[in-house]
Amino acid sequence: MTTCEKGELMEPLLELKGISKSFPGVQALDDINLDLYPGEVHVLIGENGAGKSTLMKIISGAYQSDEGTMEVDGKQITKNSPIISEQLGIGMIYQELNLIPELSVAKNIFLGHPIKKGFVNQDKKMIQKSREMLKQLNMDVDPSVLVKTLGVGTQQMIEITKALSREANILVFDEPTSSLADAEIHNLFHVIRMLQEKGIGMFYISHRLEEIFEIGDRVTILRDGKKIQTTAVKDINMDQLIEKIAGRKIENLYPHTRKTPGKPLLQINNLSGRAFKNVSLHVDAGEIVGMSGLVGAGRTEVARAAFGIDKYFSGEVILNDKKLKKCSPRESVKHGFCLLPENRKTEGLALPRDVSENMLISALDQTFSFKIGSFGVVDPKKESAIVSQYISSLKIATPTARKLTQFLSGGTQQKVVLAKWLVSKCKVFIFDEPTRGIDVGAKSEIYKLMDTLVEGGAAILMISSDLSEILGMSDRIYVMCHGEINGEFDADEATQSGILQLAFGQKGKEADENEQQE
Amino acid sequence: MNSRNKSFRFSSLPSSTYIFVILLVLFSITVPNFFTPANFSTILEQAGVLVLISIGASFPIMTGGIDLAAGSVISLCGICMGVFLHNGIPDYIAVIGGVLVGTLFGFCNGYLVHKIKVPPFITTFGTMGIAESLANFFSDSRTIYWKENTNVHLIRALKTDLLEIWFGNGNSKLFSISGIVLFIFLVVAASIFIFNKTSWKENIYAIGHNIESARLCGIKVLKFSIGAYAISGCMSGIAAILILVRSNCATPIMGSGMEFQAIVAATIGGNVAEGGKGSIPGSIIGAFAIFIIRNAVNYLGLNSFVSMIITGITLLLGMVINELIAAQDLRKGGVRV
Repeated sequence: MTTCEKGELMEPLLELKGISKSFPGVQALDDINLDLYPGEVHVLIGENGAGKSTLMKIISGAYQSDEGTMEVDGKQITKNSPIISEQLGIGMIYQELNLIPELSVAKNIFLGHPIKKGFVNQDKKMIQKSREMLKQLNMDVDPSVLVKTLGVGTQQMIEITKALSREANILVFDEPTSSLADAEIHNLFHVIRMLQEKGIGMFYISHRLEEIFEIGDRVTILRDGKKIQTTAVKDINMDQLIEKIAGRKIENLYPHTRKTPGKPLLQINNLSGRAFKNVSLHVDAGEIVGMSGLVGAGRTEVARAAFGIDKYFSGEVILNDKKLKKCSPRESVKHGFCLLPENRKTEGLALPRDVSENMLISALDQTFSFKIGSFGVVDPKKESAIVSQYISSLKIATPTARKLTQFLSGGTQQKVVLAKWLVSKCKVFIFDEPTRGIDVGAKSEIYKLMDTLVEGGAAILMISSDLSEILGMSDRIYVMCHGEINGEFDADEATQSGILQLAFGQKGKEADENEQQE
Repeated sequence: MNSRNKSFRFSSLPSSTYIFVILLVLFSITVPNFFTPANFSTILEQAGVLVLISIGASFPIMTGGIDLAAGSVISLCGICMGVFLHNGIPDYIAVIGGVLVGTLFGFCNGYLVHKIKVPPFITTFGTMGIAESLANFFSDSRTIYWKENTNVHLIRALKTDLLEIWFGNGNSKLFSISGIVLFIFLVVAASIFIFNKTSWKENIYAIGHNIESARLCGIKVLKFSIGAYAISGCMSGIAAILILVRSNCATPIMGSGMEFQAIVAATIGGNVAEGGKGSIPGSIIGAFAIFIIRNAVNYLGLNSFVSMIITGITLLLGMVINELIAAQDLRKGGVRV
């Protein structure tokens, strides 16, 4: 194992030796050794299911390991639990925010360990203490406001404050940036560097590989529950990293090549709604159009309104030269228009149902052996024929069509959502954050599928907060800011900084002065 | 911007406040003898039962559950106390015994819901049947009386008027505060204090919002989640004391249907079924709103089903107001970065 240059002088904060953990049918972790030194950011990467989260849950005490030992500050920990790990100074910052929206910032920070006098909580003291702690992180937040009034980025900072309030000297970040926009990520990294200087050791899990080079000191690569390598970040480059994560060579993460655009399939003209106004755009056959912008710029809202989920005030949506008369998802699907939502677990799939049911749900009429009007009798043979055709053509990794979708990985779930729309013969696709929380291997497969779709004459509008994805996959790029389209790029002219400038609303548009300050 | 969040906002009031004010004004105008001090002292005394079980009902609702057994647990607790008193057991022991029975029932509900993971609706639906049947079994489906002997000091004390305001030459009582009202006041004050000033509020909200994240925060999830149901059971027991003192007897149906009113009161008080939010004062005002419906319908001499109809409408109205407030909040408050 390569030693970190910092580590030679110091004792490790935390040391894991020979950790193994198995779940029924899966060896989640196999003989893992890992250590963390004060003031370092130790990045853990690996595909979904590689064991990163399981490992972190063992550190936090949410799971018990089957074998192996854990040492904190040189002391061996025999029995761990969320309460014990907290007392040891281990703080977790989970991917999903765990703050309670109806409680104030201060109460959230002190949740589970309030300042008390006897049985009575000392609210004023907690507010004062929170203010001091927030100030140390350069946060200007009033600790007495309710958390539900704050944005996602601010909430993330409060999570960090919460962990620090328990005097944590080991922090674990589990994909902290998955729901943040680029500006907020920048702010988060600033705070991480500050914590580094204070000597706090951090584990950092992320799927965004660029981040590793920006923030990491050492990186440990996990694959299928085994440790592949621990190395200093400066000794490894992106290609080597991807290769080690996947265990195979991915030549090009973004396989998309420009096709000759056909006629416009989706046109949105002057669409105005609650969170956006005067949005006009078009997507042609054979084109992947990226839509960039900060979180909250109104991208998802435009997609939802166009697809017919939310009402819009004015404007029109034209599909293949036909104007959509009614604003409803059913009408859109009839015209071959579909949306792959951002939250595929809640909006894209019925998780407790199996792959087959999820795939056929919006196109049951194709499986009817006998029908009167829109009613019919489902023919199991037709059903399984359609399903197995798509399972093989999209390479959906499921042992049988009867596997419940909740037990599939993120990438596979996304493929099932896509298959659902392909069965319904859709031609126009909106992908909202298509690869959020999906590992590198599965990402590249999703990208390949998108390329195949446009090859076949489909049109794709891709909303993404991941700039490299936008730049790598799009033919044209729209940038939204404050609910309006602030500019358009051809992919060949687009640069990361150019897009960011538009996203922050710097160029053009008489955007409201106040809004900009906010 | 900070000052805006701190300052008083109408939208931060529980919707039960609006409903209570609307109903109060409406009944004061339309119902004769409603807006009188004498009626208010009656309301204070008689609404207590509903107030207490509404507070009790709020706890399971805030954890994302529900306690349907509250009403029949009142009957069971009342019958237990009645049987004890009938057999000459001193009233303070009888009363404590009854409350313990209620708390035990609540504890079992909580244990089944949060340890065994039976859905709360099913669990409390089951225990509702059990409590009701036990109440009938112990009482032989009859009303239980007890002798007015030396063993009922406590009950007599609760009945005594502590403060009386008479009008004229002592022939008409204008307003009175009885021991019961003081007792109710103490229980209410204690529950508000415990909920807001100790760690109950944070922990219950955290559990209602997301029980797994609460566990990972190091909160003793079982203690508080089972505790929520135990509090509901305990409140049913205390409510049974009040009914017992007022009516001097115990019947096996004395609490039936009360859970419906309590859940309505808690719901319009802002304790929504998803959990993770709500307040005790909201439930209390909700309970008064529901109670004055019954009171006004009595004055008008209408069938008690009319009060059920109005209660149902009130619930729906409360829900509509809740939704309007939430939409308003979303539009005005928005998300601050």
